[in-house]
Amino acid sequence: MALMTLAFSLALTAQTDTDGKKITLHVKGISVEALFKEINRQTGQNFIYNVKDILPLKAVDVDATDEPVASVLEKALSPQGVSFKFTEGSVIVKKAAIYPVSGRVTDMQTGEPLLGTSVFDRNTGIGVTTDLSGNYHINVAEGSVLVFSYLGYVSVERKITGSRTGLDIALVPTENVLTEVVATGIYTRPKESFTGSSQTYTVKELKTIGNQNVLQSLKTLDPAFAIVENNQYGSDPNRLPDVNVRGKTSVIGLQQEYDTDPNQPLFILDGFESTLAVISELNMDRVESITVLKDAAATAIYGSKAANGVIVVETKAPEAGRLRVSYSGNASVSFADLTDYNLMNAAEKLEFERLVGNYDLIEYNEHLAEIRRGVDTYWLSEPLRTALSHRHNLYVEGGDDKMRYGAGLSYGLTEGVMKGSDKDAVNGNVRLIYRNKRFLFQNYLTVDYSTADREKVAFSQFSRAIPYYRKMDENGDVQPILFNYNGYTTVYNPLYDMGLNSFSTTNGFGFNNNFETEWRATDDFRIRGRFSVALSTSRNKTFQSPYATMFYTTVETERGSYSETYSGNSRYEGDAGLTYGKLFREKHRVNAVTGMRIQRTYSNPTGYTVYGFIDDNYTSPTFSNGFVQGSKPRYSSSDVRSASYYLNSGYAFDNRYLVDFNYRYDGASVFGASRQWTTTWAVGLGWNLHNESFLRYQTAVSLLKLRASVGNPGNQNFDAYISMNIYGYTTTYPNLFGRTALITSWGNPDLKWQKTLDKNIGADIELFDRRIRLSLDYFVKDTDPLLVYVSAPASTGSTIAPMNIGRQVTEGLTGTLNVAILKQENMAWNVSLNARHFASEYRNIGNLLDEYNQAGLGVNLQRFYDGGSPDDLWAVRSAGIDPATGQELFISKDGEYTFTHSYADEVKVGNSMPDIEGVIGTSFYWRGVTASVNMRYRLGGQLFQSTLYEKVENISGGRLAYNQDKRALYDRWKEPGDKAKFKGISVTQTTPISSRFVADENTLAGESVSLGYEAQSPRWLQNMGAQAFTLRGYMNDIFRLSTVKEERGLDYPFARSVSFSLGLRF
Amino acid sequence: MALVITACNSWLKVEPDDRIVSENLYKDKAGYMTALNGVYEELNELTEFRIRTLDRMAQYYGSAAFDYNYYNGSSSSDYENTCKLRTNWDKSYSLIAGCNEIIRQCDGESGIVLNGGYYEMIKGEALALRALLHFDLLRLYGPVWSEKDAESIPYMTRADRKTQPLLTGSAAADSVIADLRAAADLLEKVDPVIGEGKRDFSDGLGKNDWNYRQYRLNYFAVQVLLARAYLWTGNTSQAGIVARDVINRASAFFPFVTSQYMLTTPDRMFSPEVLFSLYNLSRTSLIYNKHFAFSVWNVLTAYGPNSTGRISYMYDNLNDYRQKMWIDAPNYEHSSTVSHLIKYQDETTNGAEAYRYMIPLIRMSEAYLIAAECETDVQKAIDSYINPLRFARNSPNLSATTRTELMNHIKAEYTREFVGEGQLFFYFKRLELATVPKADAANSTMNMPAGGYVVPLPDNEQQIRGL
Repeated sequence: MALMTLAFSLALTAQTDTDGKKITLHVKGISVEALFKEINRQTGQNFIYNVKDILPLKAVDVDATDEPVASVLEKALSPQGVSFKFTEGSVIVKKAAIYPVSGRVTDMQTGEPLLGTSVFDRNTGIGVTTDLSGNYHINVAEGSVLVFSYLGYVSVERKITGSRTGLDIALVPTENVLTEVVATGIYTRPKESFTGSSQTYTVKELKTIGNQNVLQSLKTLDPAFAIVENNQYGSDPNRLPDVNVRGKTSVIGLQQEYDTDPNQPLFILDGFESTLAVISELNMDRVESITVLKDAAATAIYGSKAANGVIVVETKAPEAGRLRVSYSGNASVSFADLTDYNLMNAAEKLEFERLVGNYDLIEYNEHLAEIRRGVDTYWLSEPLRTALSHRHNLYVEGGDDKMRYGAGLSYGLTEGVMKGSDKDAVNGNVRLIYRNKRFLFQNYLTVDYSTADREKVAFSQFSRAIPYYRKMDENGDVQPILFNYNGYTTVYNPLYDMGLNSFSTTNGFGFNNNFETEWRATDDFRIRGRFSVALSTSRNKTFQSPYATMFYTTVETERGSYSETYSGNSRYEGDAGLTYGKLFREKHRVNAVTGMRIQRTYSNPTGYTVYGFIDDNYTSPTFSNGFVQGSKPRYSSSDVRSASYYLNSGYAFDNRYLVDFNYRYDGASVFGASRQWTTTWAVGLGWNLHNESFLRYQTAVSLLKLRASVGNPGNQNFDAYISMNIYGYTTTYPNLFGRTALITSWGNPDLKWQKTLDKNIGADIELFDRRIRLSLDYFVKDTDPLLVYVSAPASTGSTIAPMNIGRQVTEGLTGTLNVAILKQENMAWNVSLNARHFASEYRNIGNLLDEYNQAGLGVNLQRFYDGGSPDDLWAVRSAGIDPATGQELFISKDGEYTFTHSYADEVKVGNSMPDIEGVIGTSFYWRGVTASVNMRYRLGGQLFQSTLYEKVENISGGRLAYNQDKRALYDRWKEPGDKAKFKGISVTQTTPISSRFVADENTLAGESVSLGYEAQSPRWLQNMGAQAFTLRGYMNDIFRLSTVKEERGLDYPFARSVSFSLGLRF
Repeated sequence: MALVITACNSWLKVEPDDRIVSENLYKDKAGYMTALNGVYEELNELTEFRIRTLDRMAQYYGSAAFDYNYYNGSSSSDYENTCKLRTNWDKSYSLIAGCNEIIRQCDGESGIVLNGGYYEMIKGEALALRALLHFDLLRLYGPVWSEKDAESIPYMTRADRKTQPLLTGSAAADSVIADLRAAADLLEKVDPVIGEGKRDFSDGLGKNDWNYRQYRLNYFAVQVLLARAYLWTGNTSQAGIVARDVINRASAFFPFVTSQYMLTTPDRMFSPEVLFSLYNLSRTSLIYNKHFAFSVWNVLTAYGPNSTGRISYMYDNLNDYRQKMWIDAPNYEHSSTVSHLIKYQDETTNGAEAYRYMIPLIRMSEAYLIAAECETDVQKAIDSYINPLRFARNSPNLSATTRTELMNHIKAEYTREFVGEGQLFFYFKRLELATVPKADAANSTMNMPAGGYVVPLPDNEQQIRGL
């Protein structure tokens, strides 16, 4: 601000006093005195000066075209410590005095000295750096402005009018100071000296997006983190999201033979491994920050588990002080998003059947009569509701220097938009921290209990139901059968099943205790030990009423079922490590973290299913007829152990050149007996250009950092016993010779572990006092070899075998740009944009996966060819429907038109991965009020439209008993000359998949809109005894515009929601 | 550090408690026996294919019950599944892979625990099982012997389960013979069956490693299998030598049933003569009730009633014990009377444990029939091998002067003897008969089409091999 005022006043002076006098001069190495003469020659301006002051001055270069005199003088004189002043008729030139200035720079909050703060003259760019104690000493000319600048803090400027000692400056950290530290879960490092690609988000940022789930918010904020939309199960609160960081590394979809999703990132909660389920259910109010570790240098400390990226979640630690109570409450209203459904009404459906020609006249007339009576049932609304969810969190914290405590209790009820689906969860947690000069002890205990219920009938049952049927008969009773088509197809009433006493309930209980102790042996050297125990159980009870329509064709004694699944899980994890960090000779910073970690995870799912119930009032298994012949209780167990040694070392020279080296030696039971250990490494390099002398003493560029890294993180998310032959005991045919065992799972002892070579180049840039922030990353992930389950000839003993085949190379670019358009104390306006682009390619596969290509013909559009991408869509090109015949015209590989569909003509017709996807957002702040809007865009991807394929084009036989998309009636070919998009309406043969069903998909979705108010101790708050107050309203997924109309959320619709959160601190 | 890593190594070795890793199973004799017993146990899974599909292919059953029959040209496109062909192939090769793992372990480091004859017995039986399984697949999928150079099946001998090429019919048969000879050599050294016979008693605490040799591929069973294989390759001299050897050495332990025995015992297995069989406690529910019980849908029955139908032509006299296994009963629609096979009907009389759980695979009578076929002297064949068998079946002596007559007698005896055991089709195929009995007629024949004896490899196998 000072700068602006100065410049402004200067310009003003020049205007009035020199009457806008301008000169044009191009000369090099002109002496100051000669310059004055030249100006005098051109403008008649007089100069008054002392020759002694002028003679020692250096010659200057002038490059002025029609430039005001004041400006030319400013450039020539100010850097040389000479001032000038316009007076009546002449300019007085005088040498400025040089004053010594000294003082100390500290952190405003902690009072700690800030080592390495830049202190420099804004005009000359000449400056110094503070020493270890934060002290500085500089000589500056009178009237110059000193800038105190340190990364992560708001810069301060002081005008110097005389000599000063003790010009102490306390710098205030910038708002999100947390982003300046990278917490990897094993060690923390200042972001400036970290060479990996990572991004940290505070809970405040997350809560600006939404209040429901940390992962949903993270998806909006970070372009590298994605949640794959689940078209089948939409916004079902009881389904876990499919998440990935920087796309997928493995071939999946070949065979889902894995125990766990091999593309899932590793989750770390407070330093220990966690699960997707725990993180996605984590109460947001407990979270302090989330860090996404992306490249090898950032993730390598997690070694063989890190190939898919790491998500590190840190929960809030209590703050010292008097006892404080805070409350936060969240409430939300959700409703189903049915805009993508385009179903026929009763009359349309019947007309469609007539045109198809496959109908029975008597039935047709019956239905017609019903329609004339006004029957047009809207089935979709039946299973849906407006869902109300709420969550409360109460937190108590306090303590003193030595002892701090925090205890929290939270309760949440999440309702799904389908009737009967909900989840409630209770969590209690206590954290105690004791710290003295050398020691730290910390214990964190959490207990969770949850209950989840599933809806009784899938949404698709309702979307299929035909509107010319009534929900109820004339007596108001819901009948199980809507219609019986001549005895060959029975149409059941989904409403009937929904009214039965079927249920599926899951109870979960979890106990988690983390203990940590740390000994600070010296200032530079620490020893830390941590231990975590997690125990959890989950019990599912599912009852299907014997009256359910699914049992109508079952023998009477087996109608109705009850199944129970119980799973007990435990996890122990221990970690011991040494941390060393020291600065030598003020320039050489060395950091090292080394340690050992062991982990054991045991789970033991068991279960059984019994059949045959008399009615659905008595649902206990004792009322069943027992097991169906030949069935047995289920039992399995898995014990996964791992042990590892890790080393992270970093060296920074003068905070300019950074080197990081990571090494991890991992042993795991899943690697198999022959190869228990594997090593992973990563090297990272960084260059802080903003600390170079040529960029150091200025304010335009506060951060300019280049990063590069390479490493080979591995993937452990595979079946535990993949490399070994496993015998299972058999009991079907007991004989006279005792126990029998057979090989139940064939191992491949030659299997190589799937590893990914991960290369990354990135840049972090902050300009103009952090008004512009840009972060860019480019990466190449080379997974070689891939681990693939391939078909084997049955003569080898099994039809499927794990093998190492080929490579997959994924390239990607991600970027985030933040621009502060307005930045004032009480008002701020920010615009942000993030984007990602990923592309993958298979290599060296050859024809080994040809069997999958064959099996996929007519079923899906995924093919496996060298050079092809996992996201490519393959199909025969279509030239559309021939207007003359209503038949589809195909384009062969050679570009010829043909009526014959041949799979040999398949070509790549699209790619389901968008060219670019990201979020564009803006936020506005004014006196405690924040408004923000974030919208997701997807451009340039293609989509196979299964709705068009299944509910418009291919409706034959049995499918006629379901309701269909309107386009089946309106857009199909009816008579010669019709320019239709879909084949003849009466054609019932199945059309093969062609490019006709692949369309460009561009979408824009309102992911988050929020409006919040935050108040720090205004009077009305103090009256009620509160210190701080926040209130925020959200609308999530509120709209979605797409270039294709495709049914989404088939078995469970997507939800839109409006929610509120309230926070109070006493 | 090294110490810690070593300690970690053992900590990282995890044994799942419902399963067992190969290395840990083969720690002691009991582990080896458990794995070997697993193969025997699982052979039961192949029974349904053998008694249903194979015997329908042999044209025993032509009933009102509608079932796909490979040669009757059913329209079922999914015959691989309906006929259990796929199951038979997959399961057979999976058991072969199991045998290969046992054999590898026998000769591997842990094999040293196999002292006291266990090595010879376990490896010998595993080799024999491997040969048995391959031989049945060869006889089904392989060419007829006159086209023995045509492709047949892969012969799997490696524990690493690498895909192996399809061998010619003769190469595969050579492998079968080699395995059987190796097995016989090993077993001959240790098998108590040679000196003591079946040993069909229990040693008390269930340790029956050397007992119940009838339920194991014992030395004599292996020898008959070897004779069967030689005969398949047309090597009648070797087949004859081996068959006669078995008759000489084993008859004392596996004697033909006597009329006295048959009077008192409803033993339709002729269990004293059975050289190798499976033990199946669920024989009644899984075999009889599903395939032979009266009025069951899909029941296997012979055409017409006993008096005038197929059975009246199949047997030449009503006293034949084997004829008595056929009972008149209404077909499942109750529209006519047909012959039902009660061979596998349950028996609960005292001592029935000896045969009520038995599913015979190799019997003494086959040695006699092989010996007869390999005997150049027709009269000697009739006197030494055909008529003793006839006598044991309560049937009058036969006579023959020409080889054709002899062969007709042998064919008739095969038909009578091995019903419900899946051997007759292979007999037809071995002799490449141009006409076979017609299933849905009392006494008629049908032509076997060219190539009709060769079942195409399962789709999966063909696809992956790019055939």
